[in-house]
Amino acid sequence: MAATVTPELVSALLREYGAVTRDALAAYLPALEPRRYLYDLLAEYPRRPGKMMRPSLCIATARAFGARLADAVPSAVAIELLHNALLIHDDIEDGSTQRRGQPTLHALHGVPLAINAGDTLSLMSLRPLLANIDAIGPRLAVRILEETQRMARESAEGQALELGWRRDNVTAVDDAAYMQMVLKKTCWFGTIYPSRVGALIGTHGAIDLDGFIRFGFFLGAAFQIQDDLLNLLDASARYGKEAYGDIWEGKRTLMLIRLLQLATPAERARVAAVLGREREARGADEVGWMYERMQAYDCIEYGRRIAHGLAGAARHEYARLYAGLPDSRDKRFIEGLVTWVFERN
Amino acid sequence: MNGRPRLHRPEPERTEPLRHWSTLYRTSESWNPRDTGGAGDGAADAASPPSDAWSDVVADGVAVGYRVIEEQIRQGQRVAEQISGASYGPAAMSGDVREASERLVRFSADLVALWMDFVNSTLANGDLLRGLAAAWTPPAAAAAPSPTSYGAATAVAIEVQSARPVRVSVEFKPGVGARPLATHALRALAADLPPLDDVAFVAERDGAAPVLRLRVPDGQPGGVYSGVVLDAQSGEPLGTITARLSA
Repeated sequence: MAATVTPELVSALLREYGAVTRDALAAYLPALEPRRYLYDLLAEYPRRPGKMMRPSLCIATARAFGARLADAVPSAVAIELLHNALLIHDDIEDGSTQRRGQPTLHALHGVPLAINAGDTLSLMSLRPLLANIDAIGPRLAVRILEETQRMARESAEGQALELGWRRDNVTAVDDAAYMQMVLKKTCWFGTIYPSRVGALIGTHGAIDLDGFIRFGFFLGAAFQIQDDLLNLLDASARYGKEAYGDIWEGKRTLMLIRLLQLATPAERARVAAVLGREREARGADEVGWMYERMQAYDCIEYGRRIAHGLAGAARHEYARLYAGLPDSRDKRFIEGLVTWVFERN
Repeated sequence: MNGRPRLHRPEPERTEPLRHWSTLYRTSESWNPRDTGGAGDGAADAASPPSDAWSDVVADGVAVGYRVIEEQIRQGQRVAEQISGASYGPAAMSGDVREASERLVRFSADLVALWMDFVNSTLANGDLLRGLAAAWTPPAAAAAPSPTSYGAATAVAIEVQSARPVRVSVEFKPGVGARPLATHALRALAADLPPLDDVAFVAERDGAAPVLRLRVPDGQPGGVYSGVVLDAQSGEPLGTITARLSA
């Protein structure tokens, strides 16, 4: 994996499709009153530079199957609006303080206004999905709404699992339970839904979508584990979140699960005790000790290896899905995402 | 024969290439140490599992992933079949526009319900409500239909006068937007059957969805009658109309 270099094309298309999505999204964010309490807040996260992976994957998948760019843009806008809405809520639920290198929305404006802004962005994400009726016809528009409903249910289940584990201080989580949680919480919205919606648009619905669940899961799970590794290894200035933020939040990452599996009974009890306290009650020394134990037990290397293995499976599933399509930069972009996962920062 | 023991080439660890998804990616340290010199420091070796164990870790991890995802797909198929009674594949795309419209209404209702609490809290705030109403106006790119045109051409109401059961469906090509519609008579495959010629698209009011009106004479033979949906201005075919009349 280390020898593989992501083609420049990935960065180029992320910029290109990201710009197209941002331009179209701006039309859905009006400059109205009350700006100070609502509309300025709505524009806050979309204005910060993000990776734009979700809308770009949707557009690229649609185009790889032959769709016009314009056919996929409304769905890409809906994805980005909903993504930003969920980020606001996730940051509140996780008690995060940093998002894309700046303070989180609730840190800037308080929790009530941030929740309201998140709700409004969710509501606004329906608008481009309804615009699909004119853009690509009612039948496909309904299929995409069905996909949206399923994605929303899967994502809510995943978020509930993770939050529930934290609330009840569940420490007996194995790799399969972790992957199921990641599948629902991260992969459905991050990679599966954009791929499936793009494939629906590109084929006018004439394709079996199950293969996109497999591809999206392996790509999304590799992405999530790498994200968690970056959180552990990178300084906050480069990564955009606080250092060791996941440990502070008690997030059940693959590395933490591995530590709980390998630790001595005394260490396991200490980890459980730290996780059982509120975030504010955890000390920097305890967080540092947990990180040191993760290193001692090779938990970080374990996560890295698993992420690379899952990326290998993603490329395998990619080949099964896209082998029959003619070569295109969109097709190469989708393949390139598998290695891009490990080279982004 | 000099009595010395004969030299044998050691048996290879494998005799064919590894063709498996778990070997798609390989890190430099995963090669057999015998091939690469393999001089590691003792402390690191003691702390890290041997390379074979790391390979097992990767293989096990991906196997767990496949188990999880296959179970997810099975669950999704079961749920889809329970909800829609339809298969979970391209066949789910079959059906007419009216069916799609009904599903659109159903899903819109579901989604709207999700935000009822939000709307209720918003109603108490006049400024917020006015702002949201303005935000919901379509962006400039999505222009409203002209005052004299139909609404979105792909949303069609159907009115049928018939003494016997008749099932009418209208299929549009993908990407058909708001256009004035027209049609000719609906004909059966058998040339000797009289056509259904009392059929037309009617605009009840500006901006509203067009209405397809069809009157079936009492003596009309049963069968399948079909015709083409046309752009009333250009004559370009936009879709098909099918009427299945009971005998």
